[in-house]
Amino acid sequence: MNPVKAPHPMKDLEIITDPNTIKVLFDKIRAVIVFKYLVNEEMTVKQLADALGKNPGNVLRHIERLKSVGLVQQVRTEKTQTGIVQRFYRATAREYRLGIADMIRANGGIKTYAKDRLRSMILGLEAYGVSIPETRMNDALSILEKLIERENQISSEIAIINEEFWNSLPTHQQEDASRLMRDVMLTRDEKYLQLKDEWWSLVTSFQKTQ
Amino acid sequence: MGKWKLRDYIETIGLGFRFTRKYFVSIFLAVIGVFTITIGLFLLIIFIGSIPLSTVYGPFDEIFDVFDSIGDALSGVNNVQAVGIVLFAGSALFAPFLIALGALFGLGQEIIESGNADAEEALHWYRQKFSRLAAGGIAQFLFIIGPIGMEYIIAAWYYGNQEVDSSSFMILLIIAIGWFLFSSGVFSMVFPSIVDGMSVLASIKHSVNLARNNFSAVFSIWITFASLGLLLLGPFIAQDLADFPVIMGQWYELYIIAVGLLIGLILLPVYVISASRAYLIISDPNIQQEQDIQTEGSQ
Repeated sequence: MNPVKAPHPMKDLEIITDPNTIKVLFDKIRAVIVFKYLVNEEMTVKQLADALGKNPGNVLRHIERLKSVGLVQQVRTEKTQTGIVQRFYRATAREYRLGIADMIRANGGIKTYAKDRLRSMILGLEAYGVSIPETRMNDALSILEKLIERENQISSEIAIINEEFWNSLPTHQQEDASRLMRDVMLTRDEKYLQLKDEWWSLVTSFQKTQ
Repeated sequence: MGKWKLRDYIETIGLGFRFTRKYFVSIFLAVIGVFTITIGLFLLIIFIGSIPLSTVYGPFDEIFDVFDSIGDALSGVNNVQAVGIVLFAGSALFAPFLIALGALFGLGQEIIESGNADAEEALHWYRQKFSRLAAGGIAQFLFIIGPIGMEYIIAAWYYGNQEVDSSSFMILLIIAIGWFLFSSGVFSMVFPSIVDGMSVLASIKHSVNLARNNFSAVFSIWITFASLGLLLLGPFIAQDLADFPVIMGQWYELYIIAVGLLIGLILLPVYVISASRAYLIISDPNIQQEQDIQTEGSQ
């Protein structure tokens, strides 16, 4: 938040656990600013305003709000030939995920949203012939919640060391590199592997054979 | 911290005037808009304040009679209580104007950061940052006026019932003015910091740090505009406060109106834009100079 501080290195993945942060992202323009633009490149208020077709003052207020919850940070300032002092902003991570466990522990709408989201993920397995009965639904929800949490935790600890090189890569290459690196880190984690086993056992036990 | 050179000072003041001229209509509407709301809020505060006071001093014939009752309250209390009343009443009465000033800094940052101005945005800043700007404004008021009140209490205690001689009075006045100019300069970056998303406490700390580490930047801008303001208000101060007539007859009233408009519509926006630019420059330790003209069309 303090513009004097040097920017932190961009994270590969950040888990959003604070309900206030989630509420900030419920605004469509803020979500677009972060997920469409600032995760990919650093931009000024003017550039964002042009891209969104919005007033720069409006974008500035959204940026200020996003900065206040730590989703966006100022990375550099530049004096232009015309006298304008433009600040460049960037997301604090390349990808964001909602922290399921924290959301479930939260109150009200966020908790309901998180539970519904997990349940719909499990129900979606029906397409692959996996039909988990209601009697085992709570077990499935619990394992899946822990699995996602562990995966998020491990993935969020991966930092992008060479940011300049990272920024020079095309999006598909960034995604591939990110997936490979997460895979490496996850296969080294005992707890994750144990949860994966539990999940595998549960899912396969209810999978219809063709 | 960002480097501040003579060239930055000249460029910043020049841009303040240039952008004020360029976006005059937007700035004019923004000033009118925020100050209309401010006057409404000011009247509301007076009305609310008049309710408890009327129970002590009786019902008021006019709303502005509340000031008479504040005067009555001041005459019947000791010096410490008087300073307390002035600080309390001043905080409440000045708060709406300070919020308005803070909202204009939102517009100032928009102009300097994007080369664009929209009058409506000042009202959005006013609404969005209302409580922080109010708290920041009151904190500044107390920090700036509080020590002057202390000086008054000490002087009143020291001199007792004796009349203060003119040279001592002059020294006390110079100390008070000196503190006012110095502390106002130190806190001049509070509103830009609040607009930048900081809490009130963090903004005060940030402003003090910026003033300490970038003394020339902060004070060159502040002293320039404070001096211009004092220069314009000089005849008013001499005539109304020191009883030394400078402009005679109806010309005096015309002068007061002209100065009010000049300060509100020109000097204030130029100061806000200049201070916003100085803030953006000094708050980044690694500020760069653009190599190619990529934002030429941004203005």
